[in-house]
Amino acid sequence: MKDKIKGHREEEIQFDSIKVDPTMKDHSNDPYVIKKTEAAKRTLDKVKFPPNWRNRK
Amino acid sequence: MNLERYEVIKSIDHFEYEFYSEGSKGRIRKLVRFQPFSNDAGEFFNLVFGDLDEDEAGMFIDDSVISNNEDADKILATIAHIALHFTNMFPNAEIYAEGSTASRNRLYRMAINRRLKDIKKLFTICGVTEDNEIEPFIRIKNYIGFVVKRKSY
Repeated sequence: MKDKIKGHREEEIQFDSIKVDPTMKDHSNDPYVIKKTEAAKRTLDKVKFPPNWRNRK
Repeated sequence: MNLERYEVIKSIDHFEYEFYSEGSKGRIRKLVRFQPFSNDAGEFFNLVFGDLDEDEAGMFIDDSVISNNEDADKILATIAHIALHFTNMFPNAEIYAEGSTASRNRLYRMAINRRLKDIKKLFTICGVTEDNEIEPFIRIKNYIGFVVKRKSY
């Protein structure tokens, strides 16, 4: 099955869809996920975000 | 971006994706998780990537090994594909990614550089500098992390 999305200059991009596995375990409480997300938060907490930073991207 | 990549499965909530890396070290199960968090600047999803392993207690993510399965480009193409899918589900999501080491961040920067034209068609991408500044991605600069967001049309 192919999904379609609109991209730059209205060109159409196709890509394979991804199957859902209902048996997949949730790792939101995995120590590695928690450690990495705390590290990410520490990094971004130190960042001096300009007020309009989202518009500069 | 028709790069060679691995087949992926995902969880019902679209926050987790799994695939198998296949290379010189064998078949290694990989996990990508988008973990939400927030700070003063807004809400983000941290892109967490690692090897999935199992012991008596169950499945866990193992960051103690460097897989070195000689398939880095294919893995990065697979992660890019996953990010595309995730942002189809959550088009306003701002994804933060940082490597566990400086060399990993260099690897990510080089991979972004190779496909920057394609990436910019679909995503806006910013780099976080060692001076704790955030700026639009510049090819030649080293970054400690990256923030990406799907462009809207």
